[in-house]
Amino acid sequence: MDSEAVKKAIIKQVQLESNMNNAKQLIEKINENCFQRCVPKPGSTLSSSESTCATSCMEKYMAAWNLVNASYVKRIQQEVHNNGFAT
Amino acid sequence: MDPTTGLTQAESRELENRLNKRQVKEFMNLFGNLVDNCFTSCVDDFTSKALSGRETGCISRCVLKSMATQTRLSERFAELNASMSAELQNKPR
Repeated sequence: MDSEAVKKAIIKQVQLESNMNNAKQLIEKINENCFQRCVPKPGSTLSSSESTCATSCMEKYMAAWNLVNASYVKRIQQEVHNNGFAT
Repeated sequence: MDPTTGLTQAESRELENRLNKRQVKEFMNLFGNLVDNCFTSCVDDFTSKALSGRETGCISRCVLKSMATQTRLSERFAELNASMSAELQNKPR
């Protein structure tokens, strides 16, 4: 079906755009957070310890993001299960 | 033309689309802030690359508490709203 294909293409496009927005927002937050935490005194170069800190910070933030996602979904599913319908 | 809202069907659809998009954006904002808050409160040690068990538990609890708080706040807001509009209805006598 032509209209089906068009619909699917549109849905895919929207999902792609929303994923990109997600990623953009995530990266902005990571930048802000990790810079605040890891670089207390701005100097002219990034020291190796600051660099390591930033790497660890990013890994941890993404792990936290995944964890929040999983917890949130689990909680929502629980809610739906308890109420028998989506609120 | 819908007499109640004065919008054509196409316009209603467009409005609904826009409201949906805004709702999704709003939700993503909330989510981002949630992660930000829980990360700031729970994660202090950047010497390792993986989340420790303590940090993991902390973040899970943080999410559950935030969700419970949001639920309670919206309930309370609805209660306040209802009492305010009831007051307004009783006023003009």
